[in-house]
Amino acid sequence: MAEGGEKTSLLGGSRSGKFYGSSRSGQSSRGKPETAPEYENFGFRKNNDTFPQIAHNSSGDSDMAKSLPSNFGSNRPVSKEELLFNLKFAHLNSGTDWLSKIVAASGSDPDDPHICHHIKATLKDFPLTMSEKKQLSQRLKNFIETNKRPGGNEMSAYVSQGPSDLAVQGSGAKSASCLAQGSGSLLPSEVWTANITKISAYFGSYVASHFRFLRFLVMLNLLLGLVMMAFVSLPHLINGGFEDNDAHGGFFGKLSKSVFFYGAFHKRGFSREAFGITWSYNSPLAYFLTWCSVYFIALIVIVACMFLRYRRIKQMDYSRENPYSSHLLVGWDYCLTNKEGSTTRSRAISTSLKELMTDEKNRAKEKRLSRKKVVTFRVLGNLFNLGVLAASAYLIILVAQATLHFDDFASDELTDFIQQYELTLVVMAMKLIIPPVLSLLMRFEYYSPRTQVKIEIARTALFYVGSLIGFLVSTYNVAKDCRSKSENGTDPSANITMFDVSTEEPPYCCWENKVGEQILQLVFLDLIAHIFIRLGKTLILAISNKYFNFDRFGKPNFDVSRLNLDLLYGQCLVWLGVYFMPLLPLLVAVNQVIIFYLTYCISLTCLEPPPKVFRASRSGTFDLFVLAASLFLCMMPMGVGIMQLEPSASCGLYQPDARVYDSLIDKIGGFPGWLRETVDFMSTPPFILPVTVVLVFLVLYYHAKSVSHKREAENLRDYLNYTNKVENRRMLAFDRGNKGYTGSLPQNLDGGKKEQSVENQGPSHSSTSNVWLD
Amino acid sequence: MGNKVTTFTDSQLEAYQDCTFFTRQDILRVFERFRELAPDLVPYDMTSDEGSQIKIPLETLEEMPELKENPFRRRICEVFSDDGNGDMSFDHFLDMFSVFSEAAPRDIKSSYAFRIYDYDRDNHLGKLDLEKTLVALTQASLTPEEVEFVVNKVLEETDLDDDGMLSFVEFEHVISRAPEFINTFHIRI
Repeated sequence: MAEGGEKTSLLGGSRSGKFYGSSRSGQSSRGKPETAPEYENFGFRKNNDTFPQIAHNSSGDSDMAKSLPSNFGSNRPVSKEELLFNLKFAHLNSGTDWLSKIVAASGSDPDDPHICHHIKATLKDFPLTMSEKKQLSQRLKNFIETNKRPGGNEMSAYVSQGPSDLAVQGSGAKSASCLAQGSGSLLPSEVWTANITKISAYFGSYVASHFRFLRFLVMLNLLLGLVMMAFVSLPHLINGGFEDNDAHGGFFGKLSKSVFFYGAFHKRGFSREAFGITWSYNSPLAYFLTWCSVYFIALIVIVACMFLRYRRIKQMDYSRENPYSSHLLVGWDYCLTNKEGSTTRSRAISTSLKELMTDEKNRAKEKRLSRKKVVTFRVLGNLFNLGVLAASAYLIILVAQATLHFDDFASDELTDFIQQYELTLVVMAMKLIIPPVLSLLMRFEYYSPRTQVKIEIARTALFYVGSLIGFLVSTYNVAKDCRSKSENGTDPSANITMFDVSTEEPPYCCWENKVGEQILQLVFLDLIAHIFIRLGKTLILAISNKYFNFDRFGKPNFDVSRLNLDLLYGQCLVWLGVYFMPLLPLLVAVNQVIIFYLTYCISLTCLEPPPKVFRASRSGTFDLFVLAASLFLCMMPMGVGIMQLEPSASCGLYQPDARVYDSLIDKIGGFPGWLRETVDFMSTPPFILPVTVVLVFLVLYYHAKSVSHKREAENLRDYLNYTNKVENRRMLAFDRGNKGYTGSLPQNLDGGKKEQSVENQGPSHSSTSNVWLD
Repeated sequence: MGNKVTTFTDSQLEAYQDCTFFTRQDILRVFERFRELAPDLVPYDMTSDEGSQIKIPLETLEEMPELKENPFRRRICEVFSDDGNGDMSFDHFLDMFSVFSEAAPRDIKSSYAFRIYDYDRDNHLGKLDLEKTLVALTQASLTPEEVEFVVNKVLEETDLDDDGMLSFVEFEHVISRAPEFINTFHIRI
């Protein structure tokens, strides 16, 4: 079993573990290990030969290392396993006469002299010097020749053995780092790998995780955009061309008429003649279904990514348990042969070590306050947050409604300009001002640092989503007013007859387009604000630091959680706006690419790694979780809107008199009767309530299960560590006499004073360790 | 192959094949690289045991593209050379790249890795050895306090018999749990 092998790996692999056991049992008069005289003599024959000292030895305090097992003399019959075991540590015992050992070993078991052949065949596996190997190979060959057995068949098995078993293990494993060194692959998920590696070497894995998140979002948006394009825009393009002449230009001029926006799509499906068959394409259904599937695809991708990432993190266990030693001893990649690669690698190692160290220091700091005070503060804080959220939503709606009653005290252009932009400007301003204020106030709630980051992210995300939904609702309210105008011919608020119902056509009123335009405005404003603020802030800080040594505001650095939240904001815009603008995901993907390169260049030129490193979650899945949650939250108002709101009359795919969902169901042509009844039943309360209750119980059950599993895993891990340490200490305690651990059997040493003193310690150690076991 | 000069006799090549993980072509290819480093020192004809006698000095070896950017290049050459001074003959050169090749098993790689990191050659990785390794690894970008902290942490994690140094078995214990070691301890020639 692997575990057992690992435990005894102390003595160098399971081979030697077996050997240790066998030799112990093979010796007589062993007696109990606790008593000192028995300890000194495990029943091995004493022998006073000592070997020549190891040649390279400059430090004076390691006399132990020089003395080799003294009774490894040429007279003692050596078992095969012991010989192989000692060959494995040949570099610690240099100068031994291996040939005689081998001869002795083969002599000890006359029925099975294959030890010579075996060693000759696997000579390269032992750490001997080249001259030793060549010499040994020659002498073994001669020895075999001279002692050929009459049978001759046994030798053939060993003569040409090819690569040893262990070598197969080595050759099979391709050096991944060597292969990956020069390749810039074009796989979608591998784009920008070189850049991200560089970032992670300079700034650590936490900052690199932001870039990975950005790359994930770009890929997701591209995927969604392609799906939308394939099923919605392309058929329309093929059929009707880029613009729709029925539609009127809106805020974006000609672009509003185009296929970018919802309004351009025809009311009905269309059909074409090709190859003698009429192909018909049901546009409304296609639009609706594609839109639904966009949400599902996004959800599935995010959840799958979370799952995979979580699993991958759980698998690399050892390097998390012993991070320092893995970095130090296994950290360097010998494949790296170019300067850039090696600088990056050493930076990466030093940054991860620094990350580990700051993590440790931070974990030690914890503020402790009285419980009551903390609880009151936290309750107050949460209430305050909710209050701020409600107030900002109200403010948005207020501002939106105010546009209706706008009197002209300024010039018309200015009025127009402000009218067009004010809502988006208000939303933008709120996004920039309020979250930092909230996070400042969070200081008073005294959460532990890791929880604080999580809660901050969650609250800000909630605020963003809330403000965006408020924005959407208010825009809709504004936009749908034109419908009442178009129906009555009068403007209810201003009491003016807009037009003559009988003679003119109703004015063009397409609320979907208006909402879509507002969202697009917001997307552009967001991008521009992002660029300017990021550039401005870092430039000012960098210049003031470099040239004026003005350190008051700190050095410019990364605030990874804030950056991730900005990305989240952009993504929420996509989810809210994809109904109104089919190609919005592609546009936002382009935005995100721009932001990637901007952040990358800025960070490499003038930023420094963040001073304190608090990861929200060790596996980086918290960001994805927040993303999925905001997807849900955005789906809800959109779903409600589709079900409840009236589509526009003058544009788009659906009839104004019915809701979109109902009209689609009718269009499908009717399900079979029983199916329709079932679907109807599923939307009634007697069905939904029990289902909800059952789901809630399932969630609680699995949560409880996972908590208990986690606790059990912790216990098992602790126990495993404990038994490992106890076992190893016990074995090492027996070797106290052989301080210069050469990997050989615990044996008696006739040596200098130092060895004596250590030996005297030995028995007591062994006795105490035995006490542990009893 | 049509060369007028044979580089190695057949028995020499066979011995090399027995003692390293290289095939015939690999050995000849490695010899070409060896010769390129010092064409005036190394003759074409190595049949009379020049393989163990003619040595290329350490400074020339350190300029090799495979070793140039390696912070442990000096230790590598010292470990594989005869008397620890770093000048390598072809035998040592071949041995070195054989250990670093893909076919070498983990045991032999770990025993040589241990020797490379053992700066004072006492067969133990003491505090000084670990400090020197760390400084070489991070190209001196950590402060002395950080170096001390990391070394203490490493000893805490791996030193099972509490003697303040890592013996070879403790080192192997760490290596055996790191599956990527066999990929990273690899130099392609």
